[in-house]
Amino acid sequence: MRILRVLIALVAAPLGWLLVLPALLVAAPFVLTAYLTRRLADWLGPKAVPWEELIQFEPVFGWRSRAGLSAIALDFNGDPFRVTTDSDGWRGGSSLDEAEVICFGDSFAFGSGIDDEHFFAELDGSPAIKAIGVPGYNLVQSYLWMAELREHLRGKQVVWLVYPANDLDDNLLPNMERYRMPFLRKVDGTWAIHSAHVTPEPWTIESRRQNVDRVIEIGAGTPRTDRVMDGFRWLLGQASDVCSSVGATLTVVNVPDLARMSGDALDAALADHRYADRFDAEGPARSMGEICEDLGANYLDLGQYLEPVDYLERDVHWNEIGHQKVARVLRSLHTTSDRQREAESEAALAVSSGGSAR
Amino acid sequence: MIELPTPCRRVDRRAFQLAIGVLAATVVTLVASPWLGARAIGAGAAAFVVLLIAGFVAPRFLDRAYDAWNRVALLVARVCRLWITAVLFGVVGLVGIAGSRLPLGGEGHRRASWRAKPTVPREAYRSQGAETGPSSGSWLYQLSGWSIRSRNEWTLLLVPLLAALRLVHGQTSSSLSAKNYTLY
Repeated sequence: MRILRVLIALVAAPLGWLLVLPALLVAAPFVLTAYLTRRLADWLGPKAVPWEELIQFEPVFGWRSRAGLSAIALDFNGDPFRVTTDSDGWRGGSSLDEAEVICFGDSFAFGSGIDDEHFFAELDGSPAIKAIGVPGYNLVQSYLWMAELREHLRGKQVVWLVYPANDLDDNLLPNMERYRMPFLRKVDGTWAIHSAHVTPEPWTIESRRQNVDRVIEIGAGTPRTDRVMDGFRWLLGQASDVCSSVGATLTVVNVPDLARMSGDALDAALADHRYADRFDAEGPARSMGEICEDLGANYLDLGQYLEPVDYLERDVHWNEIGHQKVARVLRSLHTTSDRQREAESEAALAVSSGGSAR
Repeated sequence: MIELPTPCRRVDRRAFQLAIGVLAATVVTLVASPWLGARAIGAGAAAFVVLLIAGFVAPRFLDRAYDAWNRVALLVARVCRLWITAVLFGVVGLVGIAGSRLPLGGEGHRRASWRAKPTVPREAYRSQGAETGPSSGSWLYQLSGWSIRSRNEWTLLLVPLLAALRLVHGQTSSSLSAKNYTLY
């Protein structure tokens, strides 16, 4: 039987080879093009540095970008962008002391997906902007840097970029994937920053869900919404105290998620989500605005200025046009706050001179 | 791999533009050579330059061409896979005429085909399915080893068909968000 099988196969297999030949001829141009494209892409593409090499462990903060970096990083789509950091690990040409606008935040403040020359803190113009941002940060980490650098903020415009799509929820989480990070914890009815667990050891329990699920839950007015907003309120109070202690003006800036890929993911998730009918996309931003008003902090919604075309095609971050718009908005914010400060001092002067007259 | 890289990066688009240019230049040179002789190389080079310039002048056209090429490639891959699989099973079916070693009828039918399972070796810790031997080497090496050990040498004649099937196998589309390093 073994021999018979071989004999039949010796006849049938070559016949099969002949039969598949036309299919291979049809497929050949496509196979060849795909092969050439892959090889040429390997050859043409710059050698990118993985994220693990762009960041380093930082006690209490969890991680930070490396100092003196000049590397090619990859955005979500795998497209490269050039990243340069200063001796402290921050992007942006000007130094912390030269800058009049200090911008804190996560990957938006870091400039993920954008080359140095198009990064909002690198664009020519006055006043100078310094970005203190690291990918993956929650607001607790940004706040801790604000407190750490408070002396450099004296009399300046402090901008806090808040990306509600994940920042608000991340404030309550102890980790970002395998990286440990400081977070907010309510103990005996009082919020506090917890960072005792922050070590270089990888975190093994994944508690962070996909962004889109969290966006829906927080936008649907659930108990989670109340909790994350309560945490934000407490944190904003702390940040306001830090800024007012050095005469800095704090402005919370909402970063809307207008990227096409986020919109598509949200639409798909909402199609059969239990919170679909209660979901309010503007809800978190509106609540943030109300909290800012309650606490007397300035609030600006970038949604007034940005459009979906200002975002990268296959990434949630801003493109070149988006960065130009953000730079203009932040600079105008500084001018406004200057005028506000002048008006306040004039009013104070008027009151004091009125008082002396009396 | 028949499919172009997905998701498409900027460098993939540029590489595709060059690849298409090279292929077009080759085709033009081959087709024109009976009439133009050595000057056909110039015609091929001209075709390459025209496509290169077109890609730079109209990047949106390049994007659309990339997507369209990929759609057609996937369609071709599906049809080819179906055809090659049918041929492959046809050959296996024909070989099956020689009969089976399994006692499926007669006296053998009454005997149980169950066999006691031996203790699984430590090497099989990762996968206890099918082969328990070392899994090093290419699929061709593993197939050859199996066909000789199991006295199914005829299966080696299927290798060209399996290779053809592998050639037209599309890339498993990866979800961008699923495995993405979401550090933002």
